[in-house]
Amino acid sequence: MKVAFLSLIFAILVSCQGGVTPNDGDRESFVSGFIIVTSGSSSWPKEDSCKELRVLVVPEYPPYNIIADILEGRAYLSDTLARFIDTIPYLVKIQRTPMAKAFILASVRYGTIVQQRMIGFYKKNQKSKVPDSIYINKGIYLKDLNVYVDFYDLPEQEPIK
Amino acid sequence: MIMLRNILITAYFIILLPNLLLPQIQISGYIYDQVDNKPLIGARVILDGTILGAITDQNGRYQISKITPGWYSIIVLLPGYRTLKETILLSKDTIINFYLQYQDIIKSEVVVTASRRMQVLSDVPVSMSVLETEYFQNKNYYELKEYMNFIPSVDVNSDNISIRGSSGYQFGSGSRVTLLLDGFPFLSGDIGEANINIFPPEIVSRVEVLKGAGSAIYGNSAMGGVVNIITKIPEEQTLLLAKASTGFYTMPKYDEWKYTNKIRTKNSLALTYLLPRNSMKLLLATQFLNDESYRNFNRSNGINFFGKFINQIGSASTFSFFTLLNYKFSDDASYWKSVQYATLPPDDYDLSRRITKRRLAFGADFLSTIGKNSFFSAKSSLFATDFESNLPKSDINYRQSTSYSNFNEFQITHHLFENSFLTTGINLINNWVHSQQYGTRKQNVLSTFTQAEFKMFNKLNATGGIRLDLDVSDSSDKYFEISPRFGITYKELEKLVLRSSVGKGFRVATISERFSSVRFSGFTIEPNPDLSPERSWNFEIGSSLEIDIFGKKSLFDFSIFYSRYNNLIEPQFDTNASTPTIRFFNISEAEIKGLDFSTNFRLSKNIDYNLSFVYLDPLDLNTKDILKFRSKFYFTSGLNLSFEKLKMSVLYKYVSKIVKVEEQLRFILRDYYVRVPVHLMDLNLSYNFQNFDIPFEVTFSIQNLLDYYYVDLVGNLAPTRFISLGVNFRIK
Repeated sequence: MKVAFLSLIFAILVSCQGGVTPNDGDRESFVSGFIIVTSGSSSWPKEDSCKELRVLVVPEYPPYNIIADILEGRAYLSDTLARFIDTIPYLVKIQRTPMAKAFILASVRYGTIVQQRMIGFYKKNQKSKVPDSIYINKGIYLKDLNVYVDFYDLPEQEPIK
Repeated sequence: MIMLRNILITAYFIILLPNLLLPQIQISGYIYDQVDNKPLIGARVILDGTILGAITDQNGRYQISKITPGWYSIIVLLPGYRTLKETILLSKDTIINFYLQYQDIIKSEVVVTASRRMQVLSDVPVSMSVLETEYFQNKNYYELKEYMNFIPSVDVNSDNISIRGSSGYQFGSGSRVTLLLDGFPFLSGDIGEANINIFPPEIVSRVEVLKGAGSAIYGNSAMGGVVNIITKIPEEQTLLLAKASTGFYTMPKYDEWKYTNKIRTKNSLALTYLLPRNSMKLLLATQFLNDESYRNFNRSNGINFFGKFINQIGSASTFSFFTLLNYKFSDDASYWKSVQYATLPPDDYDLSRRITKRRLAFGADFLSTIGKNSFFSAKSSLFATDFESNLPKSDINYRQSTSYSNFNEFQITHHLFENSFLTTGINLINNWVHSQQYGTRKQNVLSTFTQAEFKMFNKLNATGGIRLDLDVSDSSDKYFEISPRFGITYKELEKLVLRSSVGKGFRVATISERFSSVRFSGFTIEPNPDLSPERSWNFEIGSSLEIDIFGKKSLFDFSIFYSRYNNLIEPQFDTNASTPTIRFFNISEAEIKGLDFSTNFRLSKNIDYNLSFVYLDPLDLNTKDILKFRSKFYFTSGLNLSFEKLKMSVLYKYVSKIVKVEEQLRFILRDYYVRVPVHLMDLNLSYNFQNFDIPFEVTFSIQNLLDYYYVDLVGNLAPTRFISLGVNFRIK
């Protein structure tokens, strides 16, 4: 009998602690979608001019000083992504929200960390030549924000600082 | 048609002819309590290895007729009493009285799942858990899953069952545990779903769970174990049972999870009719279920119907027929929005989205003796499933599938000599699927099996068997599987039982795993018709022991086990594909080793207590890391009190935190990584008002008494605290 009651009391004591709470997850927001290479997987440049692929979420376009923006928490970047295929999923965590204006860019690194080339951006209309901005609210998970890339018709850009 | 009828009639007489020609005798007598010599009503007397048996009447008398002379083991069973087994020579009409001894501890005595025939549990060489009839009686649960929550090392989700970590998270495809109802398989033909909630709980007499590979007996999908639901048989008198239950989910502690101010309720009405009439028995049960849910994306309405008809033909043959109908209309969301809003669906989920699921099954079983000491069983069933979402067919989230699974089996059991049996059979399963996602597909599995049991020196029981399966499916290779099994038990004075077993298991890929072609949260699930069957080898050694501790009878059961898995079929994010793709691959080489300990005390005549502990070490041999979606520790305990009309039980379950989940889920699911240990405690109370004209019982349950919040696998908050009241009427 003692064993039974001791076990129950132990269970109750343990159970009263812990458990899932609403604060256990990410309070940040997320932006996700696919980089879609419309020019096909064979159009990727050679590896030495395409060392790394990432997606960036920046507060202005064109970005003037992206390194400083990242360091100061105004811009965000994804993990390194797969290359040389035609559809690549991405996910970017946005820590400071709301973000009134955000542009989603895909960028490849061809040299040092500052040697980046923008290869595409999110836009509502595929034919548009300029990116569209989005509003990122607090604690939201935005999906299907696709970035289209045509390696034969890359967007013009100022050198990324 | 006439020709077919003539063939059947001829076959029927050829099979029964030996019975008509052999001399036949009878055995009769009384069953008494050993202490006070009171006659015992409702005790079952069975001639082991035959289909012959009887139940004692109001005076404790039994009678079994039309027995072919020979040696027989007679088993006498009554819940609460120690099972009696005696071997005698029956050469003429015989009168024998039996005296049963009151049992100090609660333990299961007989099972049918381990060898496809009724067998004393201590002769079974593998671990089994059994939920007995009494377990189902004082609880106000709505679905069968809720009753299964407290079986050690068994995880039951809405569409999958995992035993000892056999399954992880399969995206709803491919069960590694076979689900049976009275021996008929209930895995859907398309996704291989094992959903126990399609059966109304009121029809259940007992549930047997075989832990470890059962493929040598049940073939495909039994590599992780077998769950066999045994339905009630109307025995004593005509009975109408009416059960009305209503309950509500308490408001969650956190404001973020309070998505409405309205109380969310769950209601059920169940009617069960049991009619025993001479040689015929009828069971009809229906259940209406409405669940407003604790989440805004889990609401459902459902109807279950089950009917079973049994006709005893003479004393040597039985024909039974069953039908099952299940209809469920529910929300169609898979995951939460985030843990912060765990009771809400994702933002892009349309709240008007619903899914309709329908299941229809019917089957027949003919059981008869053949000559001296042999009997055969012929089974045939059809299990049809259908689901369809209410979206336009052009919508990427539209889901539809219709499947038919036809099962046919012929089995002969021959009583070789004293306590030794040979069982052999053949079975054929045809699956046919028509689906938006999987196309129109066929799958056929032809099998033959044989197994022998030998009893030696009255203490040693050896079992050996082999099963051959041939899988032939559309657009994929044929697969031939050989599944052997061997087991041994050793008994000493009925107090100590040692057991050991080794067996092979396998599972062929389901149609959905091979041919899925569907968009899922931006990913394409692509077909892989070349999937090979999964295979496993299981080894177990165990012991059960009855001893006195502080003057109280106690039962201990201990086992250690090892399972080695090859070619495990798991969904993988295919990083080499040109588009974001999930595909089922044969990837994992894995092993699961562990130990299982349980004990059972009867503290007094009114109080019993049980506890169990299971440790698992599930290892992915490819990565040398723990297998995904597995826990390492399980602990359950149950305290049951019974004071005449009042019964109470407190059940508790602990499952340690899932160690590892699929990281790629981050693309699909927010807060996919959030997980905690499970602490689940249920309180059940019942009071029996026997003295009214219409006797009734009131049941009161609090599920998740501590309102502890945990996650069901990934992205789903498990049920919060639920308080319910039920009234059960027994109308004779």
